[in-house]
Amino acid sequence: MSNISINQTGGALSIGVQSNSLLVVSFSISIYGSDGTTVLEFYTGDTTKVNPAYTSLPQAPSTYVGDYVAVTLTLFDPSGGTPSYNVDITINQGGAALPPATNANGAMGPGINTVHSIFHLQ
Amino acid sequence: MKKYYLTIILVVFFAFSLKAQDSTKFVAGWANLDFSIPESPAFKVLGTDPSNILKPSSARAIALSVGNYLFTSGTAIPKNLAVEISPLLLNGNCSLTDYYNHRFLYRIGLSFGTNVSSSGSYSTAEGLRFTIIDKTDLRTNDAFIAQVVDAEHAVLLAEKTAIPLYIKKKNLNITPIQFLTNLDADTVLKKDFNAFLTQFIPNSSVKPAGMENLRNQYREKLWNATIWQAGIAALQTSKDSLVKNLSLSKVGLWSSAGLPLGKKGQLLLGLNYSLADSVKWNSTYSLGARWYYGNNEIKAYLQGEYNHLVNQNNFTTSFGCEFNISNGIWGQVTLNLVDKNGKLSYQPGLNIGLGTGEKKSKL
Repeated sequence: MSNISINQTGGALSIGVQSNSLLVVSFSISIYGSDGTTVLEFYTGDTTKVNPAYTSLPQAPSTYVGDYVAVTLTLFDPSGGTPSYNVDITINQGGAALPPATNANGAMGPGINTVHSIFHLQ
Repeated sequence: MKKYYLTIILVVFFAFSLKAQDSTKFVAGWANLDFSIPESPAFKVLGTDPSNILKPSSARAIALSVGNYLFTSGTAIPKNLAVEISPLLLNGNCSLTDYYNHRFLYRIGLSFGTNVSSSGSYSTAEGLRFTIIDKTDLRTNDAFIAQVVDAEHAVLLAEKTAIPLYIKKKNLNITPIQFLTNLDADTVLKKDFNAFLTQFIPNSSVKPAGMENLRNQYREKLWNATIWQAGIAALQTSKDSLVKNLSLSKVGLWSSAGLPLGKKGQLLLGLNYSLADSVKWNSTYSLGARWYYGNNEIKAYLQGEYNHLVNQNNFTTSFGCEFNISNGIWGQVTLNLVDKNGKLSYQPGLNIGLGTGEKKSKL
């Protein structure tokens, strides 16, 4: 889990997913409340037509302080010749990526692979 | 003998490399990219194969062609050896979107070949291949990609539903965030959870276990889909092994198009123009057609070809078979009957192709 410090009075938040592999990459973004249980917002998308894909969060940044962002990636190799995955996930504010940057990478298994990244907004 | 050993080493290297991929990253019986290895323009311009049809095939990062080494020079030294690479596909950070948007550039193949003739002269060749149309490429097949995206989204929605139910069912006493944080590190938990969430995937979507089958179905359906490629290659020849004595001796241009004939047939049309230095520079024109019958694993073919060189008209009839030997290794056996101004001869051929990122399909 990565801790992300956001500027409560800064620009709008967005989540970016960028595929760096010859894979079909889809993703879901779940915004969990500070209890880690309640799903406040849920989005899905993919990077097949637009890469990177950005998902804007509609509320003011201060609204999300203490919340968790759970990103699930689903990966599939359309040709069967790609041995590994490499995907960048960023939490952005005002168009700039907030540190730390997260890179999901590893070996591809058969079928649909799933990978999870969790961020805690502070 | 050195070249012989080099060939064996390369064959063994590719075989072990693909075997290693098999054992570490794939489950046996699941199929992947499985089209035959393309003959590269550099391989063609080397010229021991009398056929002038350049066989079109989807781009791959690296492919190796070894030609006619059993028939044309005894059993030891390979006559033709050529490597084709697609430089942009070697870029590890290439995304599917990049590939789709710039597929013409990503499919460009650079090839390099060498040949040692029975007289001891050496030849080197360089070639370029361009893909104008390739409907066989699953990476750019909109219907297939859309179905994959649909299946992936179904998994994502199922996961959302499944997380709280799984935690409750297993009495884990943790929050979903704690569950997700631990999920990727615990392979047993992840396997069990993935099996659990499958029940929440609607029947209208392909389930994760069916994805390899889906790819196989498209692969088998598209093996003979429309493909059109063009290539250019140059050949330099030296009477000895000295690089400084190499001189340009041949230039070749090819264009080949594959068209489907039903589900199990394919018609391959090929054009070739060559300019070769033989006492003086002479042009050769070739026009040929090849009919394939079979499937992605094994296919027989019959080919007819007409060549015109100065005042000489040649006709070549070939029949043979292309077959998948193992993961990424393909063979081609052919018998060419050549009619040169009424004088009939036959030329057998055995070509072997090796390519990266491939696994034998098992339907």
